Amino acid sequence: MQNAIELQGLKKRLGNFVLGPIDLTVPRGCIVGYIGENGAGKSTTIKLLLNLMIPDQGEIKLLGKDIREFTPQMKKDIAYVFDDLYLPEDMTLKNVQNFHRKLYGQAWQDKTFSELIARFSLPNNKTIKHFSRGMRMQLGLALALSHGAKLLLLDEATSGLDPVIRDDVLDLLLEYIQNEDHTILVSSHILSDLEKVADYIAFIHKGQLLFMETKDELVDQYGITSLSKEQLAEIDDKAIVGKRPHQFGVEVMLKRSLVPSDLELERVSVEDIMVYMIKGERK
Amino acid sequence: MIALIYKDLVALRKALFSLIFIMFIVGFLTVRQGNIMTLPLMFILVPLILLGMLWGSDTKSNVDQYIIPGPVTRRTIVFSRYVFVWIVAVIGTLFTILLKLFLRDGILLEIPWYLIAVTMPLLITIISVIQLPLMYKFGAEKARLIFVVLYFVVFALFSYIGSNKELIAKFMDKLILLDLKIIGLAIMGVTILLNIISFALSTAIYTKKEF
Repeated sequence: MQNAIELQGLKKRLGNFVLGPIDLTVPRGCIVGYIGENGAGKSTTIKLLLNLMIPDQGEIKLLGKDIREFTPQMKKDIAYVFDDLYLPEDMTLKNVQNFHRKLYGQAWQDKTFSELIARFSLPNNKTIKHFSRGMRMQLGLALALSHGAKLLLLDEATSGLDPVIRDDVLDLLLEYIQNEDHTILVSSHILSDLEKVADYIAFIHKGQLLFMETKDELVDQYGITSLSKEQLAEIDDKAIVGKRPHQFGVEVMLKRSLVPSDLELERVSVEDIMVYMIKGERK
Repeated sequence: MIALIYKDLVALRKALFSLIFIMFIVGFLTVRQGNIMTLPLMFILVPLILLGMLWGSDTKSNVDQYIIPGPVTRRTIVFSRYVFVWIVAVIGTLFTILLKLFLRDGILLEIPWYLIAVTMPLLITIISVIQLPLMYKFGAEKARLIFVVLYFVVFALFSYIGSNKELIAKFMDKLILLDLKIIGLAIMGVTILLNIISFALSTAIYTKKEF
């Protein structure tokens, strides 16, 4: 089976910032959470995938095809949602639907779109400029899911949304992924959301992809505990991912495989891993 | 392509109604004053006004970022903008020919219909074909600044022509000797050539553009 996303030696320079070289393979049928701090290169990667930016070097394959060879017909298999809905604000829901019907031709699924609009209770008569941010993002997602795409790319699509709407969005993503031919790459700051839905976590830091691993394996690899300074001194330096000093010693994230098995470690979250890795590096 | 034109029409819906209303009023006034030639010349300004509005709307909504990954090529996106200008050119030309058919006097009666049919597209598209590549390269704001400079250049050119009337007279003497159909063909050729060059330039610029 072809991979959904294949990046080989992908590199892009933007002023002082350099993304990559990145090698990343995303198998079909999974949700990948693409995490990293602000300015790490998440949006740049997604823009490169969507041909909004041109790479300085490297190859990008989506659904087994080099994106430079993509025809308009092939592009119908890719759906995307950005951090806002980039459509003229004077469009009503009907205008948006007509526009997409003409844009996607036979691939456009009126029934799916109408069902999603009804599910989100989006108003028919208002123009987009009168939509709340949550409504705009719901509309963006409804549009993305209404043309039978096989790959869905989301760039900070849930940021700034209230927990109820975010939950609706996550439900929709889980429904979409029920088809094993479908794949999702979602970049987000809200790591608790990714914790709920992602199969894999890809972590990018300062333009470099540090890892891409299954979420379960990832959280099993690390553990958190509080140690005194004396106890910390006995721990192998290689085992320490990051630490936070406190009044009585230090809270430390450790690699389970490199510490004695009798040392009690608490389970970590994806957020812990990201925070400790970034802060650990700074120290 | 149809989707992109539809998007542009929706974005300009209110502006188009206002523009048509203003054109009716200006038309009514010019007919009353007997200055009928102002009517077709108004069409020269229409693409200029509409393109400015479209650019404003597109920049505000960031719509390029939405449509480029969609099922269209960048070339089609640029092409749709030219089609918009050409639609205005066709409407303006047909309007002028109809005006000629229904007029009983005036300068339009003296100009053969085929000369109108080739001159109006040139007049209506000429500013847009210069403006579009500039807008794609520098954005609407900087392109407007460049256009202000261009206005001064044109003004200086007309001043030069004004002070060298004998040159124009000589040129007109030679032009009168030519067959009007040949002149018409030349105008058509220039219009097509300018539009092709402009479209090629805009496409080349837009293809390399990053969002």
